[in-house]
Amino acid sequence: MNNQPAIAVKNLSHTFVTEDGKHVEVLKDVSFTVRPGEFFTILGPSGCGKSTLLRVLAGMIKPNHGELLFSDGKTSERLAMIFQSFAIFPWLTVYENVEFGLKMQNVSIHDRRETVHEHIKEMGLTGFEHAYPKDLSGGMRQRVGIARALALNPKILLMDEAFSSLDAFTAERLRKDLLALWSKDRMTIVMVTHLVDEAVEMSDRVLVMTPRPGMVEATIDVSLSRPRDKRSKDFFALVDRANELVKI
Amino acid sequence: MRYPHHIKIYKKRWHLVVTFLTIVLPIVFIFVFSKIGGISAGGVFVDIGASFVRVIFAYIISVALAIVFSLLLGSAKAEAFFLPLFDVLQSFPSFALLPIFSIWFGVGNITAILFLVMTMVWPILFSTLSSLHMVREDLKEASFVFGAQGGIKKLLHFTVPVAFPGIITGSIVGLGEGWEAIVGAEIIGISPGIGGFLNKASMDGNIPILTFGIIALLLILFSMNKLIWLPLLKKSHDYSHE
Ligand SMILES: Nc1ncnc2c1ncn2[C@@H]1O[C@H](COP(=O)(O)OP(=O)(O)OP(=O)(O)O)[C@@H](O)[C@H]1O
Ligand SMILES: [Mg+2]
Repeated sequence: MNNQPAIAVKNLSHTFVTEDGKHVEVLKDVSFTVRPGEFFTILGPSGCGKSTLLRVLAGMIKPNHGELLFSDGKTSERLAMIFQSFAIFPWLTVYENVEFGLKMQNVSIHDRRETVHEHIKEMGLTGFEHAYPKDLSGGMRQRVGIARALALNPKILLMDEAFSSLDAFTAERLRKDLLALWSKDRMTIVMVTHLVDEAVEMSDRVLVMTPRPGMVEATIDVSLSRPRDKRSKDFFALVDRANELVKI
Repeated sequence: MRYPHHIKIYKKRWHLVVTFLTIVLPIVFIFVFSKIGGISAGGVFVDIGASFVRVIFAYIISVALAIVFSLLLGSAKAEAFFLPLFDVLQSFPSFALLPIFSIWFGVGNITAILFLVMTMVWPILFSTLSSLHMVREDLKEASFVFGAQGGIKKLLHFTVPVAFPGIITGSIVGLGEGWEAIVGAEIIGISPGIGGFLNKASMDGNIPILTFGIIALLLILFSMNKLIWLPLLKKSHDYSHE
């Protein structure tokens, strides 16, 4: 594997202008790189600009200043995202939701079918193909959200607080499932969270952001072996360190 | 949720029964009562049919216009300009336009349909616009990330499903107002039509025929609602869930 980063962010700054003309400086001179296949987490207090940063990576927000480079160019082919609110389309069935990205890429019906079924099975959604989102529990909906993202076989997977609106048991289960999938596929993951535990449990590296305007406070290497024991001394030590770095 | 098969079949059968009854009942009703009332059943069909065709034509034009307008109003600037204008037009009583339409286009179908469009297009337009406005930000983002970007893809796979509930509720309100308007216009003079039928029965003091006309109209509206609008409304609740 070469040394070229999967994502390189250089001197990124962004200021929103609200409808009444106020300027809100959200990101200030943010620079970092993400390695190919890395599980990279952005951790920071509420409102510090984490979601904004992720939306810049996704190409939804054009930043005022700074550069963004992927290994395959200015925008990334095969980029997918998992949302806190699931954001699965209520007018589509489970099957159609998982199929959505492939359909937009003009993959033929025949070629999509196999991929879609594979990911439906992988996420434990077999038998629910024709159900609509309204008939699913929160955990199931997020499974659809994950299957929809993975069906694209993404090189880069973005996650914005993907487990924050689930109950503790469901969240833990889905974190485990996602880690298992990542260790198999090794896509590059950029996750946003405000939970220190979640960051240390899942990531290779954690970028800690300052309160708004979001700047890089520090980057922590999480060199614990996987699967991680959340009750080990080393785990606690890292959580403590991260906690000290996160300023509210 | 897994849908057991027997439930599906049951629903289908039930649907068939309802369809059958809602189509057959009005027709049977009209035949039986026209026999009893001693008028020709054909005449009633012609009258109701004429009104029906006008409303449907005007409805199709109204929906098309409303959808095109609401898509054109996609930008905040265009909307700031046009919305107040549409609001004035909406509150303008369409009946006031009827005399001038009659002078320009004569007392006939063109006048009736124009007048109906002026009545029906507003509720559909405003309700479609409000659906587009209330769309969840996260769904917008997801459609972007997963590739429903630009032109026709975004339109078909995002904008149309988002607008759908608004189109349906707007259509129900618009058609209600449309029927009200066409009966009024037909009483004033546009013929043939159910409005004229009712008016004549009233002039003749023929209360059984008058009642019969009203019930026939009710049955047809009821059938349309039961067969078309209620299922679509139910579907649209799924679309806009949460
Ligand atoms: N479109 C926008 N217009 C104006 N201000 C915005 C916009 N989007 C976000 N903001 C503001 O920018 C700041 C950062 O928002 P962002 O959602 O990126 O924070 P976050 O770190 O993800 O917070 P949270 O933990 O609450 O999700 C907030 O103060 C927010 O109000
Ligand atoms: Mg956020």
